[in-house]
Amino acid sequence: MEGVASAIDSPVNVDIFPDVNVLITLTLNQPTFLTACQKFRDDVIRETIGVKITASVRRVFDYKVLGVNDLVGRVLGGLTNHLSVTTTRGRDELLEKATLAQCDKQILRGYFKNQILAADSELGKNQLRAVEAWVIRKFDDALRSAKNPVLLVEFLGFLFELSNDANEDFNTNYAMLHNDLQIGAPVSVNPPNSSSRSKIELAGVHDPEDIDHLASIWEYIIPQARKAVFATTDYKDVIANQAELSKLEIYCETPTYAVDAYKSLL
Amino acid sequence: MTEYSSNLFGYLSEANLVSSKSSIAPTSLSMVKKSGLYDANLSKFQTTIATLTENALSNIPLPAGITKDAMILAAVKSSTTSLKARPDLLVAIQKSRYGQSNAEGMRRTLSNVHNLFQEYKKILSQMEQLEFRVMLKSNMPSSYFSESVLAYRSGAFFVDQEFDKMYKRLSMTVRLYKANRKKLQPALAELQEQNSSEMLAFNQLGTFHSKLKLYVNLWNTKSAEKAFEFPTSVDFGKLREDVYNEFFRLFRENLLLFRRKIVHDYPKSYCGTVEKRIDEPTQVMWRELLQPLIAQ
Repeated sequence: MEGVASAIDSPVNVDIFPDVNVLITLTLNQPTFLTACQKFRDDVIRETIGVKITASVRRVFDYKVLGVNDLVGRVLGGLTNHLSVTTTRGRDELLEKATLAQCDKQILRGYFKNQILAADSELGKNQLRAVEAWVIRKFDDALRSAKNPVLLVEFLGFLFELSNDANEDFNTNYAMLHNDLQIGAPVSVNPPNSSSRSKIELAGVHDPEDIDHLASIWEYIIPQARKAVFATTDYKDVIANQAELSKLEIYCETPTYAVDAYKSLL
Repeated sequence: MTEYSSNLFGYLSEANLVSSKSSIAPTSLSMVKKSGLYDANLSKFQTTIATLTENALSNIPLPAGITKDAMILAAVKSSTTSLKARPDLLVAIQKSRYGQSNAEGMRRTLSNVHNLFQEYKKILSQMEQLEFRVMLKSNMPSSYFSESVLAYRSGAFFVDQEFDKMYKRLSMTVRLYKANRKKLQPALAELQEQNSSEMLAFNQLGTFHSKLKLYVNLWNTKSAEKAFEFPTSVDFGKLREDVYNEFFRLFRENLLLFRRKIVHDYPKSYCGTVEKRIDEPTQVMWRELLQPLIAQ
């Protein structure tokens, strides 16, 4: 109920909520739908609209970003152990002095091959392939550009550092976006109840994450007789059902038209 | 190693002293008096160290042969030695604790806090290198190996930049105060509020960082004194994974809270722009990993 006080104070009875895909696209500058999402951001800033997010959107956003960070960390941690055992047969005194050599590439390749084989989904396999390509690229760069032998521990530390910098950069971008969109504290902290979820399902939405976001919005707006615009790039599951969802006072729009929809409801 | 360890723990104590009023625990004071470590000129400092250590040790299971009292006395001893070697710091702490009503004094206090922070960052950086090597030699399960290294690195990275932003804002408040006396009260109120709020979050982070380290160290040492030094090797088999993970979770949560507080709560005009070029292949890899998750 944290939004009630501000809602009573505010003469505006419409809220605008971005979907997770809009937030990630803007934070990472992902090329797909970037133009539309940037238009949404600029429209929001120009019109000085305070954007709201549901706790469910925040949760999924964090989960996905942390998932990527954990994946890279897990792969690098495993790689470290693997290299330690393979290159120095677990002898600590050798590990400290071990340097990178061209033949280590086969060890790296072997490690990733086993990891990819063990992954249980195509998505997981592709993610490991992306990390593998990055590690091998950095390995080649290190061997090519170094004037002196590169210590194995330094190379691994360097990979951790690069990954962490990318994560930090992402977090900083999100913090800036948070400021730009004037996003307040998440609303609808509790998971939506089954009755709210059913209403969204009846409107034609089937993806559990989308149902959570939309049901959370519904639970937030209805007691206060408000309306909501949900900005999303999910055409298949959400935009396709915008007519039915609008009967619940949730107006789903692409980022391109979201602020227009908001203004038309004022 | 001694200097390193006393600074490491000293950071927590000194930052707390500069920014906030710590509560005095009479039992801790009497214990310090009985031990022979008591210094009348530093009684408040010593009591605060004792109280902070007691707080830092809460919920940490102690190995046989090491008592909480022994740990508190070891902390008081190392922090007192460290403080006596830094008279400038002592002056700054006393001024901030007992009131300093002119802007120059404020500036010096802030400058000292800033220096402390820089020092802490340097220590963190040394610590992470050391820990990285120690962990490579340890039997730490790979499932939390990477997270720890990443978290420490993360701390070292943003602590520097974000604190700079906070420091700039605090300095600006002081300049505002100097430039316009009519704004004296609001500016001071703002300074105190900013100082306490951000420093509280930072101290909280320091507390959980200390807790995590203390837990690892305590179970890899034989005496209370040695627990404040970083161990040369770590046997993770001696630790309980659930306890470790809980302390790690608290540390990481507070790391994020502090970071969010600093980044979100400060207007851009005070923050300036962060000059840091991110490695492009790493960024592309991150995008590749996240792109399919957007569509999910």
